[in-house]
Parts: sequence; C-alpha cells; structure tokens
Amino acid sequence: MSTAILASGVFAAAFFIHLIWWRIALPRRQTAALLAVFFGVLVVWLAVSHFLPGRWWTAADRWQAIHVAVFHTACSLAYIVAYSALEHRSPSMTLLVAVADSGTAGCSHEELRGLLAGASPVEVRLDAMLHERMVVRDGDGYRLAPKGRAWATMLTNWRRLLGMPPGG
Amino acid sequence: MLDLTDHRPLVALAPVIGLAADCVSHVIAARIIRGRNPYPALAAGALVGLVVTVAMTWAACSRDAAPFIDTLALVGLNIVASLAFAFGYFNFVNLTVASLRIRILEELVDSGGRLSRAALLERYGTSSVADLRLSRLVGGGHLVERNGRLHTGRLQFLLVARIFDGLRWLIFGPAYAAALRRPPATAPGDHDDTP
Repeated sequence: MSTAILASGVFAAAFFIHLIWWRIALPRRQTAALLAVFFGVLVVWLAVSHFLPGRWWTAADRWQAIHVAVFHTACSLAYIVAYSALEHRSPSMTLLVAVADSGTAGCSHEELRGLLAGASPVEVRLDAMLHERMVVRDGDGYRLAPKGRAWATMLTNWRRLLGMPPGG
Repeated sequence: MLDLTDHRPLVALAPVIGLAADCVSHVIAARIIRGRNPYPALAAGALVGLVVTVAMTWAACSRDAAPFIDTLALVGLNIVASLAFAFGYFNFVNLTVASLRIRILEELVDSGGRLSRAALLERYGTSSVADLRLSRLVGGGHLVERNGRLHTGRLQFLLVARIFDGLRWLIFGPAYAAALRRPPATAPGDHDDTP
C-alpha cells in the first residue's frame, strides 16, 4: 500500500509543479521543460530517499524505490506524449468538434474544408520541423537534416517490420 | 547476489516486462492480421502486456504471502503503469500511421533528400489533408453522412477531444485554452518537439 501512495505522491508533486509553472509563464521549449520537471522531481526524491532514509515519504528499500521509479517513468512519458496533442488540436479533432458543435444541422464537406482553409497543417509541420532541425531550408525548398533522416529511417523500418502501408 | 526467494524485483519490474510482451506480441499480431487497420494488433499487444503484468504481480505477491490489501494496491499500481507504457507505445506506432510530419520526411527521403516548398504544398495541400482526414473519420464511423451533410457518429474520438479541451483549460487557463480551440495553424505555442 505504501508503494502505491508514494508513487502517486511523487507523480502528483511533479504534476503540481508543472501546473504552477505553466500558469505563471509558458516555457519556450515545453517538452524539454516537462521532461526536466517530471524527471527532476524523481531524481530529487530518489536522492532524498538515499541520503535521508527513514522518513514516511522516502523509499523503505531499493526495490520500493525502483518500483516508484518505474511507475513514475511510465506515467510521465504517457503524459508528455499526450501533452503534444494538448498543445494544438489536430485537424481530425478540429473537424470532429466542428461537426459536434453544429448540432442537428451537421456540416457539409465544403464547410469543413473551409475550416482548415485558413490553416495549412503542412506549413505548420514544416515550420516545426525547421525549428527542430529535422529539415533545413535550401533555396526554394527543404533538405533533409541528419536528425530527420534518422527519424524517418527508424519509423519506416518499424512500419515495414509490422507490414503496414505508409501513413500521414 | 540475487535473492531468489525475494519476489519484490518481479513486482517492481512487472510493467517493464509487460511492455516487452506488448511490443513482441504486437509485432506478431500485426504480421498475422495484415491490413490497413493497425489498431486490432495494437489492442492485442496491449492486452497481452496487461495480462503479463497482472499475472506476474499477483503471482509474486502470493509467493511473498503479502496481505490482500497490499496485493490489490500493487496490482492496481502496476495496471496503471502498464496502461501508461501501452499508451506511450501506441503513440509511437501511431506516428508511423498518422503523422503528417513523418510522411513529409519519407517523401524527402524518396526524393533524394530535397523537395521544393511548392511541390510539398501541392502534394499535401489543405484540401488533400482535409479530404484524407474526412475520409478516415467517415470510414471509422466517427462521422456519418446524411443528405450530403456530415453528422456525429461514434463518440469515442469526440469524447477524447472534449477531455483534451478540459485538460487545456486546467493546464493553460481559460484564455489560452480558448485560443487553442481555433484551427491548428492559428493555435499559439505550436512548436511541439515530437515528430
């Protein structure tokens, strides 16, 4: 029981710090900041458990500490993955919500295309890829950077292993 | 020395072993269930991972003669951890299926590493992106077409969208969350670090 309480407490502490920080000021590199908060809290708790043992809020032994670390890592990674979808709404979600908000009248194909007309998802993605150095500008076009090539190779090979067709 | 009578390592590492079982069984299931829909194989993998995690945790707690309430708490903790790992793995696989960025990267690889901006915008223009998404949503039953107009169908994805709206309100505050409700390109802070 104490392991469950400790694991939930460490995760809740990290989430609370994230919440306070985000309400005060939004970090420029949000994913990096999230990784720093969630894994920083874990490292601090593990260090305190090691150097100041015997408190009710520290790990009783090595395996309890590892168990809390496994739980915290799983939940933190899941949250950080979900967070990228919180930052901006995907085109699919935009379309779904627009149809739901239209009530019984529904939406035509043209209205939904128009909803995305002012927003070019491709340009947004290209700008983000430039920002992350996955591609670089090359005259009137884009050239693949080593980071982008590594991502493309890894995910393409994984998809081939699964026998799936190209996505996007 | 490893103490083989101590089953705590099994309890602590059960979600990690469950994740490994998830990945292996997903690859096997995906090769057996071939087709465009990748989700049945993903669900099968997640289920195997969850069963492995719960069985290992329960067996280890029983061998350690842990009190019933402790066993329940540890099984519950590991179920949450296993589902969280499965969610992370699902998103990794989903990148290869649905990510526009990965598709653009693959187009660049296939074109020898370079493409003009005009060519990319033509291939992935707004209408083609909207049409592709609409086709997927209708095909999946999330939107239903009646008399030439689209209506809400299955509610799962819509429920997820509403939950995410609630989380945005909690994390970013009401004003920022309202700005995020606009279409994707006009949303603030659009520089996520995942592909």
